[in-house]
Amino acid sequence: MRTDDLILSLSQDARPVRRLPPPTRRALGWFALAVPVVAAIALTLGLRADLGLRMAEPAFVIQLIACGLTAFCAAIAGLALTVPGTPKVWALLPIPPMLVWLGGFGRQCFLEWLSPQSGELLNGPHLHCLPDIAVITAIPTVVLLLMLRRGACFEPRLPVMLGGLAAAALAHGGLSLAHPEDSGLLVLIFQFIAVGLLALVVGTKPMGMTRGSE
Amino acid sequence: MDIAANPPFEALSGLIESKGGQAVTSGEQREPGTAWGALMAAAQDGDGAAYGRLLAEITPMLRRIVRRRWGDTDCEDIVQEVLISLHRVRHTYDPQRPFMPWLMAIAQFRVADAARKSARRNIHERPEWSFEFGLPDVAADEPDEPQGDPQLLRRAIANLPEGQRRAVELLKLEERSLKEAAVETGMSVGALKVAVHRGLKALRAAMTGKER
Repeated sequence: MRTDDLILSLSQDARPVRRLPPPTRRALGWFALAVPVVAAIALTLGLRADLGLRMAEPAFVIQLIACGLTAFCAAIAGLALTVPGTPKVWALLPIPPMLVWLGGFGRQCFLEWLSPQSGELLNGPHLHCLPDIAVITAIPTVVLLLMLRRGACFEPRLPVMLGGLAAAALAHGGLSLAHPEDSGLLVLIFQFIAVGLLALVVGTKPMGMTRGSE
Repeated sequence: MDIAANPPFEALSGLIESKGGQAVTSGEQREPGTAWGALMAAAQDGDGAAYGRLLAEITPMLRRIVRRRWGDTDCEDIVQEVLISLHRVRHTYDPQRPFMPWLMAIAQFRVADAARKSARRNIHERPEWSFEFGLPDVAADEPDEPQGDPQLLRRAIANLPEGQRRAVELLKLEERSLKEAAVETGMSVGALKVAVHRGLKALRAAMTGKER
């Protein structure tokens, strides 16, 4: 086919398309949907008995805020990277809140290591939390992946991993309201295995290149 | 985003400057990216005329970029793939943002994809060069079929009837499955098998100069 004929054929096929909103607005949309879902699941699981006490601890509140910020920033970064031409430096956006979030683990591990009694984090993974983790991470992950697929990405691994990070952070925030044990490490391990496998499957082919979004 | 700091945009600026700023064929003196962004926004709203004009205006520039990065071989095919990709992802363009980085990302991907496909094709075309197959037997007689002239093969493929050409390209060059090729072409699996068989037979005849 000659290029002129192709141009003619494409211009004849120029149906109106629904523009992709800016990544911040899309991330807000995801947040608005995922936060109530995670909160509802946490309420269904039952809020932890010592929640009032924990909410009085600045470290707990800071970690909770860092979870939310990590989720939001990772969602923005992932969604931004599904727009062609977006610099990859956007992937660094969730790093600062993530460092605060992960720093909370490190601090808690260090304090437990210093303490003569064994604590919740160094006691080994709380495998009984696994079903709750699967439930609470599933919906935010699936919704965000569907949103990512509306974009176009030539190397989808990075956006998929960022989407997984966003869902993991949000899930950990929700679970820390329900579980007396800190399940954050298990959430991370679970989510990175799940999203890593997903990235291997869907991350190999360019995303959104097979059809338009009329 | 600072588009001037964007490497693809810098490369593009160089190309535009090298042509004396004549990237816009209408002859108007304006920033091509801005004008093209407006045309793209109109195209997103379903304005076919604006879309046709945009594609016609960017094609010579895409051709120069592809030629510079890839060379003349298959240049027009890659340009066409860029245009098709642009069409498929046109909903992702944000009229508030610069047009050039968006377009360049698509073009860069298509050039890189062509390089990947070419490398894969070359590996499949020369299995005797791999350790798995051992070293080539230089003492052996020349095979019946000549080693093959890529230009001749390309011309022979281009001369095939449309159905056979598509079948050979999708199934043999791009290594798609029969199912994927059927979806792409709208042909049945049976028809594709027949088309690829006939296409290969015609290619063999064209390359060796004799019917088999």
